[in-house]
Amino acid sequence: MMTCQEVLSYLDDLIDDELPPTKSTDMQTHIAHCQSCREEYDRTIRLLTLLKQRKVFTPDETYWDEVTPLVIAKTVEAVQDDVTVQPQVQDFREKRTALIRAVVAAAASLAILFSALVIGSQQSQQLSERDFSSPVFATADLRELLGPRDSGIFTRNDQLQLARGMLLIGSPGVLGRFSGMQELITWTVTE
Amino acid sequence: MQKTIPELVDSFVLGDQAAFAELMRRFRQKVYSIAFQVLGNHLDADEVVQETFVRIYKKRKELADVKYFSTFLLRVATNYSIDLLRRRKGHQTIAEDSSSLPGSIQLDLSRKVNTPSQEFENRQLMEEITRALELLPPKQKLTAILHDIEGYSKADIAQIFGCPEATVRSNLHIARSKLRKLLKRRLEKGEK
Repeated sequence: MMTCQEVLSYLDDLIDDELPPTKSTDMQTHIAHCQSCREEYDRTIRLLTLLKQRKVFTPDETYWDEVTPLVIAKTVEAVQDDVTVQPQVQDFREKRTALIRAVVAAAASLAILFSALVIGSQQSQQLSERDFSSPVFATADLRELLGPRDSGIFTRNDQLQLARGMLLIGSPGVLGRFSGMQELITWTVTE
Repeated sequence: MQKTIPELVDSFVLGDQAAFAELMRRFRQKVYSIAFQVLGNHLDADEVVQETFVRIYKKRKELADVKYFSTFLLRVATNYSIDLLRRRKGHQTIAEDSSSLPGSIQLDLSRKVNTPSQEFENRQLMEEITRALELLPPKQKLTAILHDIEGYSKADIAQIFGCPEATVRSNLHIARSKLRKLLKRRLEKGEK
């Protein structure tokens, strides 16, 4: 047998006919024998009846004859706005995309350069422990590839650190095969 | 032969103005009715009707991906109605009585009523229920209107609002509880 609390919590579902048949029957049996639940049920039915009586709204055709052209006129304005605004919006978007790409590319380049410098200056000890006698490193002398003097941007020491950094981040495959690596590690700029 | 809604929508998406006009003709009354129920006056309902269809026109490209045009339309209409309701809060929002409505708009209070005294009581109850509806939060109010007045299912309302069905059930239960309490107080007062 259902309690009053259970009945009240499922009352909306009963009225909306959304209960399984057995539960619906149990509720209706309870309502038939319980005055307070029956009053609550009757009040809900009356409430819904009153609400449904609010439903009928019928503007006549003269109203719609006035409103429809107004809406059509506004849609024409809306289309015209789209046409004038669209090229400006497109141009702005293209410029923004190009700017973002340029910024990202510059940031990536700076990040790689910075990493190479930092790794080269901090990890020279690691390099010194490696065995560079392997034939992988035997085809060219890296020292000959470095500039003979300081470039406008990098000193010779900077160039050395860069080369060390590139080796550490696994770029022998990129640089090709070089000899003179051991000397390179211990090589210091004396000029 | 009359075109179906999906056929009209397909034509409309491709830019057919006549299809748009036909869609407007078929749904305008529904949009007006809901807006009037929510906002309680003709001017605001009129604004919702116009704004809803203009927005639908602007969003016509999105309609190609929409399964049910009516749900999409009502979502636009209810969202704008709620926005307008929130803007109007704090200003006087007394629902119009039937004598101030234009044209043939009338509240059909005489249906299913047998005696003049019952009709009078129902009018009074209706005014109180209308006032109570005005005090409900927008979503609860709209849920009660869409379900108990306009006859939409909870699943439909969940699609319109873009929320789970459980949320719709909860809002409806709360709205009905508040209105039931009011009715109980009113009827008990009447009996004394």
